[in-house]
Amino acid sequence: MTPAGAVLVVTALLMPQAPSGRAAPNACVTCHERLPATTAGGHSFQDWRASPHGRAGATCDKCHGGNPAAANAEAAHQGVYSSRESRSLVYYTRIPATCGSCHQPELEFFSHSRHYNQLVTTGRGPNCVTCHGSMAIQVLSPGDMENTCSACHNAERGLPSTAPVAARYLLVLLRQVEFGIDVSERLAARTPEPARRDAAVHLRQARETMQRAREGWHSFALGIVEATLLQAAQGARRADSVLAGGARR
Amino acid sequence: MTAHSLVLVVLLAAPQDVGPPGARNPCVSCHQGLPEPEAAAHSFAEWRASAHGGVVTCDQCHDGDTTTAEQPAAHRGVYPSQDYRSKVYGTRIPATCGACHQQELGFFTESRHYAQLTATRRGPSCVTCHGSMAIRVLTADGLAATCSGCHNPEQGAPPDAPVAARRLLVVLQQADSALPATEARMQATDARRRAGAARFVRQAREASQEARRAWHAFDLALMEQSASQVTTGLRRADSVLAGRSPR
Repeated sequence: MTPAGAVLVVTALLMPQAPSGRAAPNACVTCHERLPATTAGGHSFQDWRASPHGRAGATCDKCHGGNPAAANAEAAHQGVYSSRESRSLVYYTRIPATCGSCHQPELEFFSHSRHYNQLVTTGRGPNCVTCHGSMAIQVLSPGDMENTCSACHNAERGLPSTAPVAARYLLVLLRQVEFGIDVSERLAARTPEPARRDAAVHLRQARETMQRAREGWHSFALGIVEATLLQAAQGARRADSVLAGGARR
Repeated sequence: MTAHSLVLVVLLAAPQDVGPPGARNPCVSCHQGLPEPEAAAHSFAEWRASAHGGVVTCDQCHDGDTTTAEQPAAHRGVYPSQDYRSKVYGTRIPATCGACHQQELGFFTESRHYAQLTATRRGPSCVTCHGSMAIRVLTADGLAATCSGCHNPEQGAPPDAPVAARRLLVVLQQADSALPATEARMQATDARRRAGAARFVRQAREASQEARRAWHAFDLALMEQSASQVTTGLRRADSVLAGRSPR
């Protein structure tokens, strides 16, 4: 692991302990929040603030490089390049490694995908921001999926055109299963012991399986993701039947 | 129409029958004592075990005369399914099933499958997915094998359409899985919230039935829309139960 990688990992581990989700004062942030939004940037400072990374205190330098400890602007921007430059940490083919320095399971799955293979071999393939936007501002919704994927998944490029539709339904399924677990958890909260405790075992498993499905999505091996989701759904149903028994008691 | 009225009357009357269901029907009372014919696509025992068994009798789909127990007269209008005059001849199956399952037939007649079936006689009919007498219903895992009979590169039907349909079937099956837990939660909630949520749960239930009917149009967008209405109903019920305004 490079020293930079090590710093990122350590920072990521430290982040959840930062008070109220804010990191300690960071020179990038304290300076840029007073500057007018740059027109050249792929995103604005406000976008960062509102993003999951802004809320968690993952500051500019984690993805753009630079040195927040530097004394002046020039030194602070050392290593910061335009995203069009191959040296940039957010150059499109380098984005997976940059995001993956914190999001390791997702990178691991993604690097085994055909998408990743396309991205590194031909330069034409989706990277993290294709679905998540810069700084994970967004996540692709089922309705957006075809529009985004059809840039490559179309007849001219010879890629399976139904793949995005099948992926879209899988995303619908993911949301359904997650909602099912939410509902079961809420029912559990209203059910007395010992049923609540018994159901909690199934619900914890369901959540963990759900997390595996979310991470596994990045492999784009959607059949496996579907099987994992159905396993999570089964966990929620098991919890439901335990809770139904508990209510009768 | 007389035949349709008869079918409906029989259906309405069926649950009130006393004794073994269908026992007073001469087709049933005679065939239950006969050995299985080797030529038939299905057996008497399969009928008994099917969704129709004991309630919807042979004559409703195969025709024949139930006013007589005389063998030749009773089989008037009954033909092998390969005979175009048969009510269960390939292209006539939708109308025969649709005499009772009218909404499903309505959706199916809007489908390209139905257009193919009637125009070229190559297209799925009710039994393709449900089997004779609705013995079964195609599962998500069985879908690819069945659909690939036509959905393959040689036949020209989009070979990857079953992949999307398969996944959507999983979505549809999953759609109402949060229903029991939602209803259980309603029992543990005060009357005002319960009443508020009940409306959305009812909507979800109705949407779930509608989604199953709409499936027969084989219109993926319509299927997805009706499946997501189930989830919308349940999400709204969830919000009401949590004391938030429905979203």
